Amino acid sequence: MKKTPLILLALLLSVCVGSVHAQHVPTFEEIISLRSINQVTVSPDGKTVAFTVQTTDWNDNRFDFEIWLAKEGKKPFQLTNTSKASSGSASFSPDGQWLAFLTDRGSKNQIYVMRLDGGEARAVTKEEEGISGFEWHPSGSKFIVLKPEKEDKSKKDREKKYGAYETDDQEFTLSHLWTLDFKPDMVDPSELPCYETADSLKVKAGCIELPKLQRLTEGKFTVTSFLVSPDGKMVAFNHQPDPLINSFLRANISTVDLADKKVTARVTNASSDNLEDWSPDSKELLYSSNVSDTTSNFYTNSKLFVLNLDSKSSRQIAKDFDEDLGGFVWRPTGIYASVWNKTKRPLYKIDPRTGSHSVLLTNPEQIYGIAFSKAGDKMAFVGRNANQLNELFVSTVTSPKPQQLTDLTSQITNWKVAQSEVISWKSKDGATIEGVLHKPANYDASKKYPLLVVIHGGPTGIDTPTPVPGYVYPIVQWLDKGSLVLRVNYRGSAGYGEAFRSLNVKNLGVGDAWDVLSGVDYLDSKGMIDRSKMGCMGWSQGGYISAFLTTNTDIFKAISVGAGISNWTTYYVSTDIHPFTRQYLKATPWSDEEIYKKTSPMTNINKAKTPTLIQHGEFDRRVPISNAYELVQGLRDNNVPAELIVYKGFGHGITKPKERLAATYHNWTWFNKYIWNENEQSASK
Amino acid sequence: MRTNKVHLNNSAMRILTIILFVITSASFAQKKPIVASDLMKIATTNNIQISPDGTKAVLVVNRKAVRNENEYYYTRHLYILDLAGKEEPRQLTFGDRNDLSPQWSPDGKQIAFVRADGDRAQVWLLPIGGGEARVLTKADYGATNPKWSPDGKSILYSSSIPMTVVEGKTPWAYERPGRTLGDEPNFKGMKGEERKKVTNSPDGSLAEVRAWLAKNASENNPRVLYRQDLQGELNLQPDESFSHLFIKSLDDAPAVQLTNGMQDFNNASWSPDGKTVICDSRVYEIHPDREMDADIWTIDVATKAAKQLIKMADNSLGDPQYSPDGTMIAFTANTTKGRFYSQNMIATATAAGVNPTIITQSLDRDAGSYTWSHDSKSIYFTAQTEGDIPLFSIPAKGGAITKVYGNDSGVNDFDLSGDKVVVAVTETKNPWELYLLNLKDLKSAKQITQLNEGWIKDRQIVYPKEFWITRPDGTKVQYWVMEPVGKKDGVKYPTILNIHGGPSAMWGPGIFSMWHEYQLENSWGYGLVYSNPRGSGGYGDKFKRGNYQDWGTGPAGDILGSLDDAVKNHSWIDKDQLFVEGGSYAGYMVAWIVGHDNRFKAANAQRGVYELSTFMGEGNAWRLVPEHFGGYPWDKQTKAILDAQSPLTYVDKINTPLLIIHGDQDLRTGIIQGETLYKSLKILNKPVEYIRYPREGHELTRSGNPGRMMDHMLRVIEFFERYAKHPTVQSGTN
Repeated sequence: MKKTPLILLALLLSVCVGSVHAQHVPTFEEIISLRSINQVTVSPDGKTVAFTVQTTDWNDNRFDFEIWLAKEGKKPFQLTNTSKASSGSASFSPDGQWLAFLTDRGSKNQIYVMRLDGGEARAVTKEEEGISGFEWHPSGSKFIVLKPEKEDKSKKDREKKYGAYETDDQEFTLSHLWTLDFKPDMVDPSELPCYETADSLKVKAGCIELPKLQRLTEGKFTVTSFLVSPDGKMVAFNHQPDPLINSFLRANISTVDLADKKVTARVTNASSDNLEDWSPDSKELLYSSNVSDTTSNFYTNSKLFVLNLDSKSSRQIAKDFDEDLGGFVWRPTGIYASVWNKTKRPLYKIDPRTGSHSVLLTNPEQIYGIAFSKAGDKMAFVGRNANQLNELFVSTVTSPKPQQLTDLTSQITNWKVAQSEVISWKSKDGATIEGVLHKPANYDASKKYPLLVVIHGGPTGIDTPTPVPGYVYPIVQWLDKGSLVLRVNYRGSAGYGEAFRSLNVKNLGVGDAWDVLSGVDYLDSKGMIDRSKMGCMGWSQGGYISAFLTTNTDIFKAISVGAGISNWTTYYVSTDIHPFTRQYLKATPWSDEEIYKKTSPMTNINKAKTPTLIQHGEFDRRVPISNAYELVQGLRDNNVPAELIVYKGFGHGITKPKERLAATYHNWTWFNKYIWNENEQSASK
Repeated sequence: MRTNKVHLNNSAMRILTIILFVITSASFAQKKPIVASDLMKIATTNNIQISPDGTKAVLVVNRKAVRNENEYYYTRHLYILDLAGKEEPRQLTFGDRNDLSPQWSPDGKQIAFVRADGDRAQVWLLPIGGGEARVLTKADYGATNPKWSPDGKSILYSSSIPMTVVEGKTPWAYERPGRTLGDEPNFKGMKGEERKKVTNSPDGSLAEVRAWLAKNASENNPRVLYRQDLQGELNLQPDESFSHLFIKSLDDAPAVQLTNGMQDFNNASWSPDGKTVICDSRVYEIHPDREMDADIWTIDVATKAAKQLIKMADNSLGDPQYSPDGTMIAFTANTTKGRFYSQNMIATATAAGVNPTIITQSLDRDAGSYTWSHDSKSIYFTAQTEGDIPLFSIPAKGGAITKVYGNDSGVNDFDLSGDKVVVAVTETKNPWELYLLNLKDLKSAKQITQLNEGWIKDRQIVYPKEFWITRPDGTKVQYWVMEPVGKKDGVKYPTILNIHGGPSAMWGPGIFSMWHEYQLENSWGYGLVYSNPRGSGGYGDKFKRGNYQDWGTGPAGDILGSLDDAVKNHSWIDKDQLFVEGGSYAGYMVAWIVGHDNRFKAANAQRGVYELSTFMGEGNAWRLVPEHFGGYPWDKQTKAILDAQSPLTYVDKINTPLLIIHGDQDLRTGIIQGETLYKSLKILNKPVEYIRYPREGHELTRSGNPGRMMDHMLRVIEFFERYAKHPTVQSGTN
């Protein structure tokens, strides 16, 4: 069980370029209903691949994830069929006979196992607290399990007496490691109960029951992820003092011996240490770390190290690899990861002995979620080229020739999709900025087009070419309406190295605005756009930049601010990730009020003129909704047309299909009104 | 004994059983007697189906389960068996499921089955090569009885459609007095918005008042009844519904409705060429409740044209199946002359329906389920006979009937493929296991499951001894005696006379339903005597009709005669420590016996009928009154018989302590029966206790809640224990 990289302000959206045989413009619903492929895992022998497919369940207003299987390169088929819930975190047993996975089938997430040669899944755990993660032990006879501790009973008693309250940052549940025996021929205990005596009906001790979890770790820390050593003797795990969101900055790595449960601290840097993988010989640990940097690790590169467990010494590898490093897999054939390289994401290989890195695979252009066979000779991954949706690929590892096993792109065969090209220009300070420009299908270079700028989150997100850009922005439909769409990889974006990711430090908003406005000027200089018909929008950090543009320029006819920051002081005090602001602004509001003023949209609220739609999730902890109320009230006080739409029950993302449809429609009508002077009422195209 | 049992004749078998019993009690003393909670461990099966290639079988395994200390329920899971015996049986579905009716796809790659996951049962498809099942049908009123089309591209299923949404007129004369069909708003057939548009008012015109009344009735508040068979099994059934056929292709296309109208189409299956669906049906010229009979119908799949194919004078036909080569049709036939005494017969005709002929007459038994042989030359079927349920075969065009399998055992379910036969068998030594037979070598019977073997090997099992008596009128009656666990020579034991219901049921060593109760009573230190009195099934037409207008005296004579014979021949039976119990018709019989006989220390009557005139009105089994007594209470002569035959008539003669048991929702024999008997005895100051089970109907002791089934058995035993004097230290389970 490996931790996925923590995504902060980002809502990373996948990306790329479109078909030429477009026929009809998809409806909003059709785009939200697109099936997509996610988590990939490979059987130990590399012959079978399990992956999850996301579908949209409009009836229950949720996205559904189910596990699919591709056997020996054959056509994949759906393996799980979970009613009203999802299945995921699939993992093959070491003998390849079983697939274990997590699913909530009525009693929180539990481990289920399924025979790969037929039959439905059955639960092997029944834990009140649910299971957070698991991994097969190499013997196949047990699982290593991560689960939350039992809730403190005194909390319930307290609530009975005093009602509900919580001391901020002091109440949490730790998670620890356990082991669980697995017997393939186990009988479901509810089917064979036995009793003390004939008439008592009291269940007798010692009768058949599910194997019980055995505790492996305990103490005042919480385990966040772990990996079993290939020799099955140890478990390496990431831990931090508590599960509070900012405590990842203090993550360390330890191991626990499965024989005597002895815990040994292994990596204890001041900043965040992240477990990547075991060496195949179980003698070394691969980890990434920000080492001693606790003040800029939101934007500096995480570095890669190998720790020798005997000598206790660490050596850095891939030293000259200028990108934030994480998500590595170590197999006998090498160390692998896919890493951003501008708008592409190739697969890299690192030689563990020399520490040198090289590109292993660039086709398809985007590679995600790689998984390898035990020997490291076969791999599977999600990937796509610019004009594709994500597909499943399998390949050998040496001289890879990827074979595409899915055809999810066939979903958009008859659609008019976005054409994409990557363009670049110089920003105000001379920095080179890239962006993805989408043109309408019948683009006429002699015409000037309305322009819509869509800005990603992060700030360490990235936009790439894609046929169906989306989220809550009806980009494909606007292209069909005859506009250009520019998506800017502004300073701070991923994929362009550490220096670029640091360009927005003490310069948030200001520098971002340079990058957006210089992009607009660049298109104007080419005679492509009608400056009287421009709009701008974005979510999260993209919403912040949009809000900054609302109060600092009047070149846009309409703006949409999604879950955006309106005032860094408001944000700093009410968000759950306080260090973010301190790192980017290098100050608290109380130590340097000026930098907060310089970067906050609200500072120039009295100059705002642009009609602004504000979209926000009701319970957003990342960017609290106070930011939305502050902006909307400031705009109203200045008689600027503004509307705030609150999506009920949502946090930082609009994670359900119906509200995503609504948010798309809200943007559609807002921009159509102010840019095209239309008053459209229909809720979908 | 397991495999060589097959080819022993009856008498040899009996001797062997006795020897085995002795060995069992002597040498396996370390084994424990059966306990009440063993009920929870008994696994059974149904719907065995051999795969098209004959190498595997799919089936349903039924188990009882418990959670949260005392929440009892059933699970039904699909299993797959490897008939070559190389692989262990493999469970295919898990959890709190009730999966039913598995059907192999013709290519053997998928299994269609019925699962309720939400409101309605639907047909699901389970891939056999890996993965979980997905739902295929989205039938508004549920889908049952799936049958693959021979080309494997679609599935035929049945759905019970409420009359309120069936279009057209009733072919019968509408029975609501003074009203006509469709003369009020059809609220039950309307969707939410439509309902709101209908003008209705308690204060309006007669039409508006009728609409208001109709709206109330549509919410079953009140229930408006104008059909004859108002009682269902657990609830009243004010609304008629019709069983219709649908075909659902495996793709996303909606299901096609094959049949329409106010008619039922039951027991449907495909012709081998996939062009025709065959079923049983009849046009209702009288209300469906009054129509007791059906004929064989076919439906042309392409045109949906339905027609009657086979009709036989004086017979009600059902369950038709084409022979695998498509040249013949087999079906069941029941005489309409005395329906409640009729024995189910198997008949065949040509595929065109010509020359329908009953072929199983010579057996003079009730045929159970049947299956065509793969070569279309013969038909295999089971039939209850003399305490067993053997498997028989008969040439499809009629001829000699051959017993294929079964002695002192019951074949509960079977399927065959080529020479392979899989049978689900109940025997005394084990309540339920599956065996694989080879028709070319019947000695080769091989046990292929361990459903109950695991726990039963540690149990002391009591084997019944079989006896026959000849009654003064020449009627031969079969009965069995079971000894208490740990019986010692020269000691006398309390003994229970256990009586079956029906009245046409049959008990014996091959009958599953009583397996556990017999053993439990033996393990509590009671001897046991049970018999099949006149009126029972399994002994031919004449015997079954033997209780006509005589539910009491004749059968009671057979039952008590068996007991007398047992007491005479078994010195260990303590004639001063006799108990009697029985359910349903046997509840009647217990009340009858204790109203005429004072020999029993205590008695227990379950779910019984005690007053026959009332029974005609309150029970859904009311037809037993006209069919078995020749008339109705308003006929003077019949009324005199019903009074003379009703145990309640003799209630003041009852002196035996009596435990009365009834299910709250029993609509087959209603609680008014138990209530009247109980109240009468209370008024008479007789020793009586009354038990009513919530949420249970007439099947309480067979398919009721497992916790209540255990409670039921122990409540009877506990009642008897109040009066029983066991010799020295009893050999019970405590």
